[in-house]
Amino acid sequence: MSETFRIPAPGSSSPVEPSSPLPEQGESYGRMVWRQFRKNTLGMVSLYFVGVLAAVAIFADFLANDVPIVALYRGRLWFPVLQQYAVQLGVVTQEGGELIDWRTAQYDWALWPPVPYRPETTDPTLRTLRDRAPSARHWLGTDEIGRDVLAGIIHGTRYALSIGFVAMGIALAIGILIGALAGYYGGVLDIILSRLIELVLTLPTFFLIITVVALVQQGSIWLIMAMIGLTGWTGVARFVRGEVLRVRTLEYVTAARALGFSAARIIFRHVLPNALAPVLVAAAFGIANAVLIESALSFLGFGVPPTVVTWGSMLAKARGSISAWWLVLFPGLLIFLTVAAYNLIGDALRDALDPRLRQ
Amino acid sequence: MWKYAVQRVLLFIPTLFLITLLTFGISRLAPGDPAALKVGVTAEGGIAGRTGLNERTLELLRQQWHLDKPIWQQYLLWLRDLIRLDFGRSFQDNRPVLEKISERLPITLAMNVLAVLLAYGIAIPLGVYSAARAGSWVDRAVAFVLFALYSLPTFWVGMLAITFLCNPEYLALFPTGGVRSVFHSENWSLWRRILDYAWHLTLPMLVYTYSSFAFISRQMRSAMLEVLRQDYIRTAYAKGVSSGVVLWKHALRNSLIPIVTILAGVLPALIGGSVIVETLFSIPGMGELSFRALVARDYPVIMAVFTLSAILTLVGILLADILYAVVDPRISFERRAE
Repeated sequence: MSETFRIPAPGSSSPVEPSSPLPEQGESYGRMVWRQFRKNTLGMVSLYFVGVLAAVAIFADFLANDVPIVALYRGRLWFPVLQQYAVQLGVVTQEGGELIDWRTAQYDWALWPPVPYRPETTDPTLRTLRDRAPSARHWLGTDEIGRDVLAGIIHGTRYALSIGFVAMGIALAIGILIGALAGYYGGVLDIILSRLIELVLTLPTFFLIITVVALVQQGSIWLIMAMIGLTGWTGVARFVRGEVLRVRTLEYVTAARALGFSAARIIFRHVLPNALAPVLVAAAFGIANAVLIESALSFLGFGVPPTVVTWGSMLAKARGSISAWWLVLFPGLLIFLTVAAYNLIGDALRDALDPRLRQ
Repeated sequence: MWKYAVQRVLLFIPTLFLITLLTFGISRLAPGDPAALKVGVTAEGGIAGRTGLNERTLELLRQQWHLDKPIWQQYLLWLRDLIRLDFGRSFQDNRPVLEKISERLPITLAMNVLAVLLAYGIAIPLGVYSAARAGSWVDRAVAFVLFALYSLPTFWVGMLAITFLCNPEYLALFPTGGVRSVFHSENWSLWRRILDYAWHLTLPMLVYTYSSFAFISRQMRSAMLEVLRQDYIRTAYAKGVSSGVVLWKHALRNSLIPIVTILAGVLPALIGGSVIVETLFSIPGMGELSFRALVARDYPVIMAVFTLSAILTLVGILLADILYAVVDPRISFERRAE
C-alpha cells in the first residue's frame, strides 16, 4: 500500500513458491532465472532505469555543480570538480589563493556541467513566483530560496538509491540470520525467534519510524535507513525460516552434516543459496517501500536535516507555495518512477521464478 | 473461537507492554527537552534567554512532568496511569490527553472504516472480474492502472490534487482542507451538511483509499487466478454449473482467504497513512494530532497515540484471524490454540 504504508502481505510472506525448476542441460539456476527475467520487457526497462539512476548518482557532481569540470584560467588548466573531491577527501587543503569564484572569474574557456548549480546553491535574485518557475536558466524551476530543482533531483538520486539499498541490506541481514537460525535449529530457539518475528510484525511500523525519527532531533539519513531496516525484516525472516525448515531434512544437508561441516557452513554455503533467489523478490519490493517511507518522512519534514535535499524534502517545499506546481510535479514524478521501477523488477523476478509461468 | 480470541488478547498484553516500553525508552532517551521547548529556551539561551526565572519554570515543569526522575520510574508512573486509562495531560496545552484524543478519534475512525469498506467493496468485484477475463485487454488495462496506483506515493497524489484541483489558478473544484466549510451553520439542513462534508472529504478519502484498494485488487486477482486453476472449478464447470455461480460461489469464497489476512496489514497502513493525509488536508483527526505532538515533543500525546495505534493494529490482526475462520471452515481455532 502505498506508501508508507505498504502492507507486508501477511500469510503470503513467501513471494513465490519454493521451486525446484528444471534447468536446461548445464544451465545454472541463476542463469535460467535471468533468461526468464529478460523476457519481461517492463522488468528490463525498469532495470535499465535503475541503472541510469545509479549512473546519475555516481556522476552527480559532474552533472550538477557550481564549478566547471575543466577550465582554462590564467594560462593554467583547472579541474574544479576533481579539486572538490580532493578537498573533501582531505588530500589537499583549500589554500586561500586558490579559491576562485568561477561564476565571476574571467576564465578563457570552461566546460560547465549541464546544470551549473549545486542543490544548495541559492539564487536570491529570483523574487517572484514567476521568476522561480521553470525557465531557460532553471529548467525545472527553483524553490522559494532559489535552489535549482533539477540540481536537487540529480543529487537526490544518491539518497533515493542508497536509502533503498542500505535499508534493505540491513533488513536482509537480520531477516536471513534470524530466519536461518530459527529454521535450522528449530525447537526452543525457533519458538523464541518466531515470537520475536510476530512481535515486530505487530508494530505499527510507519508510526514507529516516524516517532523515532521525529524525536531524535539531529535526524540523519542513516537513522532513517536503520529504522526502515530494523522494522522491515520480518517478511524475509519468515520466508527464509520456512525454506530452511524444508531444506534441512533433504539428503544433501544430511550428507553435509555427515561430512562434519559446521552449522554455519551448512547454512550459508548449502542451505541459503537455494533460498536466496526468492528472497530477492522480497528485497525488490522492500527497496520500493523504503524509498516511499523515506520520501514520506522527508515530506512531513521529519528526518533529514534542512540542508540535505532529497526528493521528498523538495516536495515538502511545495506545501509552502501551492502554486509552485514544478516543486510538486518533478520530484514526485521521480519518486513514483523509482518506486514503480523497483515494483516492476520485483514482479518480473517473481514471474521469472514461478515454474508455472516458464516456457 | 471465543477461547482463541481470549487467548490472543492475553498474548497482546506482553506485546503491548514491549511496544510501549520501546517507544517510551526512545522518546525519553532522544535528545531535546520538551520543558525547554515549552518555555522557549534553547540550549544556547534562545529567544527567552537563560534567566533565573526561566530556570525556575523549567525546574517546575520538569517536576510536574516527572522528567526529573529516572526513566524507569517515569515508565512505571506512565504505566500506572495507563491502567486507570489516564494518559496524562498534554505538554502543549495542559488538557487531558484522553479528551484531546476523543475529540479527534471519530473523524479518523470514520475515515478508516469508510476506507476499508470502499477498498474491499470495489477491489473484490474488480479482482474477480479481471481474473475471470485474465489476459483480455480489460484485464491488462485494469492491471496497468492498479499497478500505477500501487506505486503512486499518497503524499504526491495529495499534493498534486491540492495544487491542481484546489487552486484558483487552475481548478478550484474542492476546498484545500478541513472537514466542513468555515461559514457552515447549524441552520443548514441535514442534507446540506452531509453534502458539505462530502465536498470536503472527497479528495482526502480518494487519496486515503486508493493505495489499499490497488493492493487488495491485485491480491484478489492473483488469489482468484490461483483458485480458478483448481480441479474442483473444472469439475463445477463440467457438471454444468453456470459460470456466474462458479465464479461468485465456488471460486470467490476460496479466494477470499488471502484477502482477509491482508486486513491485518491494511489497518496499520491506514493509521500510518492518516498522518500524511490528515496533515496534508488539515483534517483535525488523530493523524494530524500526532503530527503536531511529534513536532512539539508532546510525550504524553505521542505515547497515547502510539499505544492506541498499537492496539488498533493488534485488533486488526485479531479481526483477520477471526474472519479467517469465517471464510474457511476448515480452520478450527480450538486445535490451533492448543
